[in-house]
Amino acid sequence: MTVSEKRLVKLQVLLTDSELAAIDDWRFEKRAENRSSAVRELIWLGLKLGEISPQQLDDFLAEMRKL
Amino acid sequence: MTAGISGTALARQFARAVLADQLIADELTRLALIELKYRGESPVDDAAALLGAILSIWRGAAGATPAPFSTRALLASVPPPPDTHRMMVLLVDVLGLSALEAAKTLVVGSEHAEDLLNEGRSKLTLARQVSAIIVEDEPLIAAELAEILREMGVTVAGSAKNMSDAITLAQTATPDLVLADYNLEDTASGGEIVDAIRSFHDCRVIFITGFPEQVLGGDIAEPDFVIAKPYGMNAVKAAVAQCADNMASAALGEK
Repeated sequence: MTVSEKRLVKLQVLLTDSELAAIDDWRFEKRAENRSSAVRELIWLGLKLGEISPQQLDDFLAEMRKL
Repeated sequence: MTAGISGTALARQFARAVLADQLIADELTRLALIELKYRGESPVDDAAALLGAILSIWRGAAGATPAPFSTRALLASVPPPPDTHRMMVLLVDVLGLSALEAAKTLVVGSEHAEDLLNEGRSKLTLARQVSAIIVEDEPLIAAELAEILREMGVTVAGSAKNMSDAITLAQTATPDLVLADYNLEDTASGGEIVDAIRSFHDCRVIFITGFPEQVLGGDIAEPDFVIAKPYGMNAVKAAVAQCADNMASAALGEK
């Protein structure tokens, strides 16, 4: 069994109204427990995508960051 | 320029005051620091250079339709910066830059610096009605501040010399704005008095102090503006007008 981590970090993130609405929509669609767990799941999914399809992740990122 | 405070701290506090939003101002400051570092510009700890970078990022965000969750999406939702006249007045009269330094920060031609400044000063009107109280133990200074405020059209509800008077006054007057001297004869500092007032009444705060680094480095809640002593009438006017603007746009945002 893994020893649980001692420290919890609070992370403050700024979101626009529409971004928050998108997270909430995803949360209900996927039946996530609450908003925080929805955000944590989305982060994990992003990391996972980087592992299984790094090229696709880079393409998404480039599109997101382009001016 | 105010001595004893790092340029970064000064620029960040100024951005917080102008944006009236600590989180977004800090985010902009972080982005600007990265931008300066990326460009290899040093020294990084230069308030004017950092403010210039903050403004350029802030201005560049307007009107874009960026991808959701991108940094640009975040910036696009920030209200636009005050116009160049107002920024000129804030940079010179409140932050203490020279007109030329301010023009450079705002990326306007140095030949326009004085004109912009004078026009900005003449256009300092209140965006909404403002009521204020003054916390100051020197009667002459309190009277002078009250006079400056009244001249601008601010309703001055009174002035207090110490903690208990200030609390009583704030309770009855529920002012929009508290103008406070930081170092008082009283055992409580202006900071502690303002903290006590803010615990029961939400209001904007302008500190006037001979030691700005004390205010910005302290544990008390951050004020909207810090004006260094000896203060000029223009500094008080500019800070009050910007507070009124921020109150007006905050009220719009709530609707």
